[in-house]
Amino acid sequence: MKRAVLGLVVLVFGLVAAAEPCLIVGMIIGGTKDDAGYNQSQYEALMALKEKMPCVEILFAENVPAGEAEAVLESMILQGAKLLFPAGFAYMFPALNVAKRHPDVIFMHPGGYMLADNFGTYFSNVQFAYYLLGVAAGLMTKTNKLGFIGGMPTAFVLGNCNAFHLGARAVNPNVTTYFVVTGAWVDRAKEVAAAQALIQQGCDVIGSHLDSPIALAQTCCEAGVFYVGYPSLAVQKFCPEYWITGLGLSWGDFFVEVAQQVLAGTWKPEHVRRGLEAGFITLGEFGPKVPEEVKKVVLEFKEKLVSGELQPFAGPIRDQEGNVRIPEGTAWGPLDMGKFDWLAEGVVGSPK
Amino acid sequence: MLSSWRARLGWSAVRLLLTVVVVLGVFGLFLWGLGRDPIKAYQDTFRLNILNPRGLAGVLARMAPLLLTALGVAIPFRAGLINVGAEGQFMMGALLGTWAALNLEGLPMGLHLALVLLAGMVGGALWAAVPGVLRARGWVNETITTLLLNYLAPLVVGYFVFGPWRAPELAFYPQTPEYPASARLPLLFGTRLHLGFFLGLFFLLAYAYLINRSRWGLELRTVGGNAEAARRLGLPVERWILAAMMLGGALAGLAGVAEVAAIHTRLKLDISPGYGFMGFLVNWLAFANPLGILIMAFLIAFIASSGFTLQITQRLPYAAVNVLMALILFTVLAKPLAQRGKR
Repeated sequence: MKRAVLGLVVLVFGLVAAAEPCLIVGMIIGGTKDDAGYNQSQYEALMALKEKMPCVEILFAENVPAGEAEAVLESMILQGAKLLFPAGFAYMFPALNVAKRHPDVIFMHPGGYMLADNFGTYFSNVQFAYYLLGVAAGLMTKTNKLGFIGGMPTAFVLGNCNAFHLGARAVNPNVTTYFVVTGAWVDRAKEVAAAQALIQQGCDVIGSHLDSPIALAQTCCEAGVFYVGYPSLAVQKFCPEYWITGLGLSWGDFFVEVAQQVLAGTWKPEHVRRGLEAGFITLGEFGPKVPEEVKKVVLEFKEKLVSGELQPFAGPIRDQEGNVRIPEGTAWGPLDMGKFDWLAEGVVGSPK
Repeated sequence: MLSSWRARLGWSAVRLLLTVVVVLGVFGLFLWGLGRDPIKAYQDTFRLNILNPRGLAGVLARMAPLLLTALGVAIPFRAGLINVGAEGQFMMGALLGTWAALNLEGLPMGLHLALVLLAGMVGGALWAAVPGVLRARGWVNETITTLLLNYLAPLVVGYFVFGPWRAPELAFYPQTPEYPASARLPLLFGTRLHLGFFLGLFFLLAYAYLINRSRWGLELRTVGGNAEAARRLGLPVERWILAAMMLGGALAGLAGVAEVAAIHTRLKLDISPGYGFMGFLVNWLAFANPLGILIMAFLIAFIASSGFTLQITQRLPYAAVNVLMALILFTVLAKPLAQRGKR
């Protein structure tokens, strides 16, 4: 009996020692990990971390409502997590509450504006890259009417719509962009209705800023109109035929960077914002119907954007009423993206 | 008398044990079928949610709203009323409490918090008064109205959260500004356990005493037992119906405001993962018995907490957690039949 117990103890210790991870990393997301959108992009970055640092142990939970976030994060900390990604904007305050109680655990939050000693943020400079999708759309449209569907009329959504429109105008001055808001980050029925309304008005390329544009892609396929994808490249498989190109949030390498900093004790709380140049966001492959000529122009614009030669938000830029919002000789940078409460000249729709 | 009471308690214990064994057994088979280790799953769940003090504090924190919403269903239940509306009363309590939290700032610490909690109770009570009046007058059945008002309450809260009370810096997810420090319900021991848990226990004890030992309790139970007989005895039946609904609503409303004042610290739409409905389930399992409410509230809180543990430790898809919940409901639904057989 004694020997059996001893053997068991040795066995358990052996197993624990063998499986001891170098770092336990947790992530919660508000949707599903295969939504071909925001949540999938977060999950894929986590999986990339696991692949590049096999000694890391992953804790993961999906469909976590913001009201439950504290409980789930606490549970992950109980299981030894030392680095947590509360990967949804709505988790900002719940995660901050948990962070206050656990100063030894590092939190990285996507897109928030709060910092604490153990709480930093990360996000991509999406608006600048969205300009490229506008360039592609401006070259592909036949009707010169583009559509844009936003979840909520926030500054970042308005910024993406403006970038889409300005990019298109850079190559096609006759373009008009129709802007529609569904009022929710996820509402498939309203997304389909919005897409159909845009198509009926004659829009033949549609961009979006939603959690997941799956329903939009499917609607475009049925109607035979083009679309651009964001925030995950995975959406193209739902309608490969009318896919022009898209943007994918790509944070895998950055997650590795963070995990290594946490292990080395060099992590610092800051707002990390990077763009195409740093691989924080990726321009996708082109779809089968996109002519070589279009691909060439878009890639030229991309090169100029990455090198810094091209400033998408360089003045003069006017709003819908004709007021100059960005004066000549100035340009808005990544830190100005939260300031959009207006839509650019030539966009039809309300910024509220 | 005593022996029959003992026998009943014995039966309840056996039934509870059977329910647990059946649920754990069937769900274990399900886990096994998915290629998971059920023993390990149950060990992890137990270790993280019961044995670990922080985990246990999390379960108790979840018990706080469940105790109060269950009482919110139990009091009308004793008066012969079915209050399905604790979810809506929870939201309206949070709404009126938030009004007090954001507009009465500057009052002394304890006074402000007391007024916030009181406002929450008033909010829940007023929301419950609507079905209460309709039922007392004999116009509409309260089961329907309380259920329907659940769908209305989030719209009312949404109006304020999206509109006049919206914090200007939070464009992404509409919510109100943060409660001032004087309106917060303190968290205990650096965990999520908060004073609301002890409020729940206090009201549970008060309920246990008043319902069985006081004249009010007797009158309430008489109305619930046979309203016609109560009327002939000269009891104000209509007033009791309204009072029972409003008392229940007040406690559900207190659950709502306490949850916001302690955990969320700002009003938003997703403050409840269904605490009102879970409270209904708790009361239904406990048949308005105070001790039963205590045990069942703990059990449901434990299971709700375990759902995410299972997802994290066993990499179960979220939908699998719903299977566990459905199994429990299923086993619970089988209960009244067995009881009917015994009678």
